[in-house]
Amino acid sequence: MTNAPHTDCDDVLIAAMSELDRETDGARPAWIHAHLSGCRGCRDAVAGMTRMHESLEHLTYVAPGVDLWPAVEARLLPVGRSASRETLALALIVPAALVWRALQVSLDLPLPVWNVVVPLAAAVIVLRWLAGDPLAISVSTPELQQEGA
Amino acid sequence: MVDAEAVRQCLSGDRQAFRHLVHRYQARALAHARALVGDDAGAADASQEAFLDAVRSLVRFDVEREFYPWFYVLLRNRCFKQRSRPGTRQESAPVTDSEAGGGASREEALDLRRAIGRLDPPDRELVLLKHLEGWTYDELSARLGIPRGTVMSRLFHARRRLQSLISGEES
Repeated sequence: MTNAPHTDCDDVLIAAMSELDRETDGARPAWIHAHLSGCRGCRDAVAGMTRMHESLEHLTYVAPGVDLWPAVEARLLPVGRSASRETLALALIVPAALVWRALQVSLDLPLPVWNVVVPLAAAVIVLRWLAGDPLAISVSTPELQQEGA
Repeated sequence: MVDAEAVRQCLSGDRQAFRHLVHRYQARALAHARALVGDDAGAADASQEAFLDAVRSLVRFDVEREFYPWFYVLLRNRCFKQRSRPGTRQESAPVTDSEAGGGASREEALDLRRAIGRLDPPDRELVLLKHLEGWTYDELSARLGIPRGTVMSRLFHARRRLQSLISGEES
């Protein structure tokens, strides 16, 4: 039985990389030392990786060529308006239902008109108010941006 | 203004406060989106949509936590949607800048940037999150939803590929 069960080069290199990433605590395990001392390929690979790791540590972000805020801001307002409309619609549902029931009791209209036509018409009006005209042709901001790019 | 304060103001109805977050994180968002999507226009679209998603989901954000890791999940989802759109280009784009340092010359730094641009999107994502964001293996595992061992293995192979690309073994 061997005292160094990890002899696969990939395992050694992954472990060595964990050290470079400061993901290990404590000293380098003996099995890595043992492998590296006898494997020139791994020693060279670790040296190369160490150098590349140092270069990677100096990466920075490219300064953005575009400012996203104007486009985001332009689309924030409709989002806010839509949200406030939804809130208002929800707030009006209960009073509307009460009014509908009161009219149902006080007026003597045929049942299909009260139970089908009136709620359906109300739903269509509210949905159209919330979502806009479904037949309208709209162009979204990203599409406009792509055309302008 | 700190992020938590911007989020609180935004939640209280001051949408202009969100400008702070967009300006603070758009460079990172665009770099990561470009790494995942592959082209500038797609990255800008995905980032913009992700910021709008963030506004809509802000009530679920825990102000005690960091903003960017939370936002990154939204950005990543948007990038995947963007990539699945027909006609999306997959170009290699420089996503990073670099300062010569750590013994590396300006030319070596340029080679490294080019090589990163040629990695596959998942590998590029890991390398950027590890080295630019400084996420640990555990953070990468939790935020990308992959096991820690897979993070280590994928990072290892991504860096080996980077080495091959830099040394010219791979063209």
